[in-house]
Amino acid sequence: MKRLYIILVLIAMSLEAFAQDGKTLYNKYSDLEGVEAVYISPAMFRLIGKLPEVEVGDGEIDIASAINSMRGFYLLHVEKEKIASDLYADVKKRLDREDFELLMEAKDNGETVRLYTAGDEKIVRTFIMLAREPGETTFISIDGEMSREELETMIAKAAAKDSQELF
Amino acid sequence: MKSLDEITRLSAEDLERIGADESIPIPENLAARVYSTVSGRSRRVILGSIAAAVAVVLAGGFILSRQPSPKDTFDDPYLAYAAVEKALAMVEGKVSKSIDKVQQASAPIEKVYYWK
Repeated sequence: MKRLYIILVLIAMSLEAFAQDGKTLYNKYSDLEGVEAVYISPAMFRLIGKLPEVEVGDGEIDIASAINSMRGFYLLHVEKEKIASDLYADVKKRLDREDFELLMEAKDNGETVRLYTAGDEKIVRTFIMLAREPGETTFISIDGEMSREELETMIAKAAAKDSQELF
Repeated sequence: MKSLDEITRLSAEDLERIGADESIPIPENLAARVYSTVSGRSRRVILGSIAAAVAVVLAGGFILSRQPSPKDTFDDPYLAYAAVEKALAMVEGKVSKSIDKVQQASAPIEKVYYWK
């Protein structure tokens, strides 16, 4: 009987983990007051892919190619402490239970930024940015079939570009 | 044979005395019959619980899979593109900020190295 209870608890936990995907989190928080939310569907990404060439940024970083490989985009930005901490806890639950790899973590003046990826050696299927500072949480989740090499090169280029501007 | 009511009204001493009375015959295969009744019941409980657990999983999976898809924030693909670009710029900003921190932290070390 005890074993059954354990199995039931594990099932409930796995269902809860499944319930923390981008769509569920977006549905849970997007309508709350004080939440800024952006969702871009796979259909819209297909439309974006058909747009004639648009000028993106300064042309040094190939964002267009990354955007073309995206299939879903969720952004939640909260500036109400209670909702911000709930969102942060829900995202952390997902990150702790699923096969996410921490790509980068930065802490500065009470702000913590973490970048995570899920996928395999070549393809990133989900990219997450979770930023937390007092009273504020920003969550970005991007689903797609992004080339890991392209994504990492893009991040490295972005970092290199900004550090050149600094020095 | 005593009824169930009569048995429940017996005191502990009475039960002990009856238990010690060897003249009362014990039905054959009593232990096996009790065991099979109990194990049959617990098997039913286990099977019932497994069925309930499977039902919970299926119902949970069904409910979660029926989550409504959110509505697109933008109708215009150009605006959607701009929003993604803005979000990526935010990620870029956060990344570069942390790289700056690393470079600022390593700068004094380089100075010490060249001074030597």
